[in-house]
Amino acid sequence: MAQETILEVKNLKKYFPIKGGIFGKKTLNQVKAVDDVSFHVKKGETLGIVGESGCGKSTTGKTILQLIEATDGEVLFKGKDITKASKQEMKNLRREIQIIFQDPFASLNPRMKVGEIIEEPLINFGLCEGKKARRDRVLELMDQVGLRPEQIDRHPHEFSGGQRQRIGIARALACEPSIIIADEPVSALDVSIQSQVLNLLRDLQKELGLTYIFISHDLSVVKHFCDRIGVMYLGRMVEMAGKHELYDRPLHPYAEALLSAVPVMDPKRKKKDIILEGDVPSPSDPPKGCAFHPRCPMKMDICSEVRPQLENQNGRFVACHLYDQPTEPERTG
Amino acid sequence: MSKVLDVKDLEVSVKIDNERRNIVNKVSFSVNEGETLGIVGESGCGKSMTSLSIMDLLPQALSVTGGSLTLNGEELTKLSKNAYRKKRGKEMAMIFQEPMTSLNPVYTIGFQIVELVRNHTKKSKKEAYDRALHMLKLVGIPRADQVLHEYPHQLSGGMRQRVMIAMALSCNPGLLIADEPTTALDVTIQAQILRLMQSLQDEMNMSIVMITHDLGVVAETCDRVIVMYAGEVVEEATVEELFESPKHPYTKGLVASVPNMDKDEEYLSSISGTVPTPEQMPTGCRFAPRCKHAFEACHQTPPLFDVNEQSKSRCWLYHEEASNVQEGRKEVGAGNHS
Repeated sequence: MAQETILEVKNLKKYFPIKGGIFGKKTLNQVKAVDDVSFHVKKGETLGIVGESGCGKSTTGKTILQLIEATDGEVLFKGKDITKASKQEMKNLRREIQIIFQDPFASLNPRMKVGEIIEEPLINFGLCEGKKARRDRVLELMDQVGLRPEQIDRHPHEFSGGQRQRIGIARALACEPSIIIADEPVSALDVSIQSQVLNLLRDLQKELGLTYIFISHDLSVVKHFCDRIGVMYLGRMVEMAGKHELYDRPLHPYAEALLSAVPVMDPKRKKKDIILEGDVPSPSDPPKGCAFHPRCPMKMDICSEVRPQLENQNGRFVACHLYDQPTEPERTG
Repeated sequence: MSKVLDVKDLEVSVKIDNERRNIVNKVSFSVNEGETLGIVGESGCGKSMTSLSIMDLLPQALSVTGGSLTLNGEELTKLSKNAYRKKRGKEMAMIFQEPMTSLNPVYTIGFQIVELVRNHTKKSKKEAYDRALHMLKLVGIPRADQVLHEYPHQLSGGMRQRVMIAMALSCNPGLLIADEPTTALDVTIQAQILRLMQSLQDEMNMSIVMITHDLGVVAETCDRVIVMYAGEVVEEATVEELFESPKHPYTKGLVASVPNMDKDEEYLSSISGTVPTPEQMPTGCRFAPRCKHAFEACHQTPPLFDVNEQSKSRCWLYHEEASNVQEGRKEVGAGNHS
């Protein structure tokens, strides 16, 4: 399958300033929410980004869309740098890159009817001329995501969580996007509803040839849904690999610990052997060298000194000194 | 093994438009000494309300309107508020999902634990402080002597949950009710907390009621499980039986809709429809409108059938006479596939 790269993120950085001082104008420190993250997404694939809270996965998603301005780095969409796009260009780009949020209630205007919510992007982007044509398009979209036509005049509060998420998806689809960034789209839903929404997203991908960036903390959902997966820790991408490679044999010690911490639905399964000690350090004061080294069971001397780069390891990427290629032998004496 | 907690035909109801509606309907279960009982179900199934009614902590709009609750042989529903207060924290304790909302933000950790210990025991202030320090060390809090003097906001989520556990266990309760104790935590922290709870359970020989929506957590921690749907117990089974061969169509659907890390499926199986609200509760079997096996009998409320020694299921398919219905169905199904 020949796939072209549709989106490329290069050395993306997002630092949030911590303001202080008497007038709150002095920048005391910076939270490095996203620190030098690079990856690419191919057309028609689903890229998963996993990590624990505070690892910067959502910030990465929002920075791609320029909902948060990047501090540094490039986001290339079809070869064009989004971070340098003008307002008008950005508006058009947002039509092509859409986002679905975690909380379907907070992201829908409670005063608007479902029909109006889905119609709004059609008006904004001039995608559909004429009231009648727009209404038909809205009904078509509602049908596509499994909402009934008579629900068109209801308000968001009349819907359950799963249905609200469907409204959010319909709204995103209205723009005919090529990429959808799904930021924890099923985390707020019960399992039986979660599977309905995941199946819907998969159907839509097949039907419309969509590309997804799927951000989640739930490793089993990501394994089910994604083709390639990037694991983030403290603002950095620590491993990136195809899902089978990653889940069969994680290379980075953090990825390994994360996978082993997932509760498995099998009471006979042996107890887990790796349980990480301690908490994730604060991103405003990340450890020197490898950010994971204070909790790492495989820590070496070099880890507290040199930050490992994401390196190619037989087609997959890992940022860990364990996999450093033996370079020139150190000169001693 | 003796029963620590025995719940019989518990009913919790809410008043909507001058009409009482049962949110928890005739729920019965028991917890044995040293055992972990899991209560699983999706949001709105009544699992949290069941646990709150055991602790007498129900929100004002709700009340226990029927059934009995027995703790160590003593009836709880007839206790006065004061007598309940003495039991809560001493003989049974509860931890919640969000530790930040259950800790008082304006008092130090130490103050809050000492207050609890002194309320329930005759310990002096000094002894109570020692006890608090001991408990914080027991739950694995680093620099426990400093944390005693810190406020809840100074701790991370995982540490706060440890503090909650330390506080809940400070008077050696025989029963711990844990309502989604790890839902707000990251997986690596969840693994730490679950392991901690297990080791403390072994050490103190207490019983745990683990309320969760996460079937993975159930599989890793529980001995027995009850599955709730729309306020009723639909299945009760040992944890092995529940995952090996779930009986009730709802349980089957629930287990199948969780993505399995060991399998590669393109689509997940899902249960169509949503959980009914209390206003539109179906008569008869409450799951019937979403059930693909529903047949005529489902218009009547099924009892909890004993399927085998390890499990019970509230489904007419397990009635003796239903076996031919089931077989007939299988044949029809087989016919479709060939």
